[in-house]
Amino acid sequence: MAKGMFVDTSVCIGCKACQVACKEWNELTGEPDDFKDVDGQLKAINFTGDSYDNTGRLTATNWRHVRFIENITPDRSTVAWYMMSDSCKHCIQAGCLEVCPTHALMRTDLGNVIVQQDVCNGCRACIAACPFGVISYNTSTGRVNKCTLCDDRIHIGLETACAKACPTDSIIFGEVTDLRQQASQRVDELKGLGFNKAQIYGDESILGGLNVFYLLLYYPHVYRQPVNPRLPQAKLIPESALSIGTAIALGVAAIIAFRERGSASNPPEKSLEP
Amino acid sequence: MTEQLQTPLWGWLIVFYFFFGGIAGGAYLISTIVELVGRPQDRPIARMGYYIAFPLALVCAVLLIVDLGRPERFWHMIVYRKTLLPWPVWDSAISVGAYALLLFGLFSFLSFLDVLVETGRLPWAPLRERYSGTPRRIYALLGAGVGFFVASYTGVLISTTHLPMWSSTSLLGALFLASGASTGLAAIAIGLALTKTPVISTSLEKLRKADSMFILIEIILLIAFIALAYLAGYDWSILNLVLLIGVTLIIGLIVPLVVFLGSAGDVKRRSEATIPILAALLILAGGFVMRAAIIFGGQGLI
Repeated sequence: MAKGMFVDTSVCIGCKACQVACKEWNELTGEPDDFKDVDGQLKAINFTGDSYDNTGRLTATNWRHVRFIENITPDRSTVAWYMMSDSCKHCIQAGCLEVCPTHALMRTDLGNVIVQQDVCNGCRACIAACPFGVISYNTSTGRVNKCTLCDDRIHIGLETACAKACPTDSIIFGEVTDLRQQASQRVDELKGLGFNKAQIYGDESILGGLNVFYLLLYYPHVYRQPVNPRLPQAKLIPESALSIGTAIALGVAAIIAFRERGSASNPPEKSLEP
Repeated sequence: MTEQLQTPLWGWLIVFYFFFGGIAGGAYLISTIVELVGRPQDRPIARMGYYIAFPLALVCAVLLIVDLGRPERFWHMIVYRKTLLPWPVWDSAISVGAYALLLFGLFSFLSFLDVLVETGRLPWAPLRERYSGTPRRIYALLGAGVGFFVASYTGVLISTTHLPMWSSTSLLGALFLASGASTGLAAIAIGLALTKTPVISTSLEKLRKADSMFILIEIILLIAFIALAYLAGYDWSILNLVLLIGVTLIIGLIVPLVVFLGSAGDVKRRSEATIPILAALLILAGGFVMRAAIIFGGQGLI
């Protein structure tokens, strides 16, 4: 049975315990671009200046990112402050896994998608294939990195580090089928409380289902999530068909040009054929 | 569009790879067609295409390897590290492209070897004695197939991503292919001129005629790409439009086309004519700028 996480953003308090736990368990360094060596001491630079957001994005060393969204109505009469702990979604139809030419990206028996660091050669094809901007290139190792769903922990029966650290149970680890039932009940509950736009992001309609899925209080685009992501490989057939059509057109053009008989007055070049 | 899309950080190495891959595939294709349907007098054109294709295929392989984060693991593209067996990923343009480049390298090497023997530049008796024109037509045909693939799959590769410019149309594979054909032919023309290879005027006329048709196809595809991407909601930057319309379309395609059409009589009249080299250089420059504009522009870098 596939394991995953249900992230209920309605109870996230933006404490970033998940970010810290992820960093600590996976021994991830600080983001190189965000620190500068000054007289032998690392000093933080590149502050986002964006609410309480301190990383700004997912990177090769930030596998989890708590996003803060200040959603202000156009007339500025109401403000909603949303938080979302973002990470790899471990999609059922994973674009990264489909494009990886080395099979470095693989799905384990528990449904999580991981990067085999001993196989990855840093071609970076997977980066542009992910609609969520999850996978990042690590310039210091020449490979790509992303959340593994704590592959080492879950294969010995533990929950993920982020779920373990979450103080409000905003991140819940478990069997995906159980989590989906739980999420459905929670949406009904929130709608009963007047949160009419509460919705699940990551059901089967999105890339066959996301093993890490979300309960959002508002539309996905407000959380900077793609509304209807599709596998990029879906374009392979039309793209290939047009290329083949063009190949035929070019080939015919070349044949027309070179089949033309030359002028008899032109002396033939001495043939070098034996 | 999501604000958090990440880019693969493909830079100049990939621009050069796409450019040289197009030229190599295009030049090989022209050579094969000349080989199969041309007259014996056209043979210098075929030879020049083969001279160009193999060295550029080698350069392409080097560029691809150097661009990897872990170049020493380049062989992982072909053989799965844990079983040491080939394991192509059919849904991955980059995987199939790696196999295609390998095959193209093989066929273009055979053709390269072939012209060296044919012209006596490889004076090794066993090869010379066994030389025959028939096998070369077989591997030229096979090589032209994978050559086409090498010239076009790069467009398919970037098109099957989530980056807005690249994924906004399904035309990049076709556009890169047409560009590969026109730049391949331009490279042949320049090669013939630089080496002062004697070519009869009717052969040059065929070359000019073929390149004119290739350019026309490329113009249609480039305009369609820019327009369809815009209609799909892609917000073109001014610099990108200047590079694609001003440099590639006008200077790199329309001007050479006009020159070619205008020089038709010239080429026919003179027995020792060359096709306008400046026009061929402009085609090459346009093809390069187009790839740079699409690769950097698609990643939001210009």
